[in-house]
Amino acid sequence: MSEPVRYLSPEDFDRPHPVHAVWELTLACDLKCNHCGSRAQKARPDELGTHEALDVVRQLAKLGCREVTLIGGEAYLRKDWTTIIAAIRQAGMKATLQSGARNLTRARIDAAVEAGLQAIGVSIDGLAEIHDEIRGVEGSFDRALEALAHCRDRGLDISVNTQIHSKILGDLPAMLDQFIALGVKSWQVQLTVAMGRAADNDEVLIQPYQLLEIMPLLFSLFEKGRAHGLLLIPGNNLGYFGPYEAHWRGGEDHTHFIGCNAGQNTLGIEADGTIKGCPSLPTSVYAGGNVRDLDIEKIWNESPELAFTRNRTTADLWGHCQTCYYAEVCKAGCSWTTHTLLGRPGNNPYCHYRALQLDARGLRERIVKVKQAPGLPFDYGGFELVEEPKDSPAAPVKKAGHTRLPVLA
Amino acid sequence: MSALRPHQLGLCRACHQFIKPLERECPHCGANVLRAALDYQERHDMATRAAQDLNALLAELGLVSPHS
Ligand code: SF4
Ligand code: SF4
Ligand SMILES: [Zn+2]
Repeated sequence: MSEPVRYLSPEDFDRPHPVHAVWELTLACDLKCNHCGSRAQKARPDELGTHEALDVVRQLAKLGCREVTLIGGEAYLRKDWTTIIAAIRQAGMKATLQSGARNLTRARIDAAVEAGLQAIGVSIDGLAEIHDEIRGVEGSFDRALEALAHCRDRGLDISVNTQIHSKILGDLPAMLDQFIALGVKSWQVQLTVAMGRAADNDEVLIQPYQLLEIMPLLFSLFEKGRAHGLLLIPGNNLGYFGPYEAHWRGGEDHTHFIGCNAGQNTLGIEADGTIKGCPSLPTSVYAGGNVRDLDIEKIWNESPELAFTRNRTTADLWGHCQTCYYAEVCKAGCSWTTHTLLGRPGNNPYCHYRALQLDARGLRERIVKVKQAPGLPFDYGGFELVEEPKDSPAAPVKKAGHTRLPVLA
Repeated sequence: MSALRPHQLGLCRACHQFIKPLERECPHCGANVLRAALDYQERHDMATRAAQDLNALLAELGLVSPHS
């Protein structure tokens, strides 16, 4: 196994610097996912050229970055993607790839390995039928598994990333069995976020109260996976604390979720050179500058859009999170998830601890869409949070433009 | 310590949920935090001793190396 270079030391916290950069090399994509936050399909009109990209690599290394994860769209749709991988390695950083893998052919994998690629995460969002439906392309599930198998055979660290959306729950146990059989060592699961096409197709989003059912299911898969050498990792927006936190987020060390890391040790780069504190954050609010205008170091050090978590306190929280026992540590969890859902960070209904507390009081939380997203990459619409008795009738099938419900939280 | 370092929580050894470092009574399960920690340590020590004894016995029987 390669070094866990992403692990953060106390010194990393003392001096915010981008330990892990996630870089959208292009917005061009060969899938048509109906939950895609960046609405990827065509390349952006003004994506960085090769020389500009190589200068980004140089700047990242100078800032002390230890790992660069290439994403898209599909990074492999750029002709110079292996040149960039090679440059990342030559600059002393770890090079990893996140892909939907529809056309991640053997030849492409071989070329990436030759260039120095060290690890790959492939996105799989269900068994074949559900995955192909969500990803919008028939056969994409089979292609993803084929690519994973070839990456394994070529000696890459292979992992799977899965979004927890409304249609996947029944598929999860069989997915685990397939991943174990394939030799997958880690499986990161995260909630689908109300961004981009997922905000349009909001029926794919899970309801916050469903965490009461989802978390025990995932934990049972975590335990089964562990017995078979596969580590299920709860993603940063699969919140938080509650009865499983000490077991699966921290392992032997008993570490726990420590709040959103955007702009502290995480950096996001869009294909046109826009810099954000995390690749997933909405561009309209969190773009701190562009590498065509300023050095990354200057953007990192001086843009308030990147510094927003560095000074976050409990005074920035609202709703349930403001009064939560874990508020000081958690600070309402993932900024991306909360901002895109409720229009600002600081209050996060996608939290197991919170769902359990509400359940004990006979209550639950439900989200209702009240505003369409404008239709741009990394955009968001608007949702309201409804607190209601936990035995309320099932939520109606969501359609845009339905009646507004009262906000209680 | 730098203000930017994250807060580190403790663990209630009765319910295995995270608690603030100076907590005396677990806010989740009501256990006496110190008592639960001592009980846990005692059980942990017993389990460690049992494993050592078993290892020694197996070594005596020639079934494992004493250093395994
Ligand atoms: S209620 Fe909010 S602050 Fe508390 S653990 Fe959940 S997300 Fe974090
Ligand atoms: S916004 Fe969410 S995904 Fe991004 S760094 Fe923060 S917790 Fe992680
Ligand atoms: Zn307890």
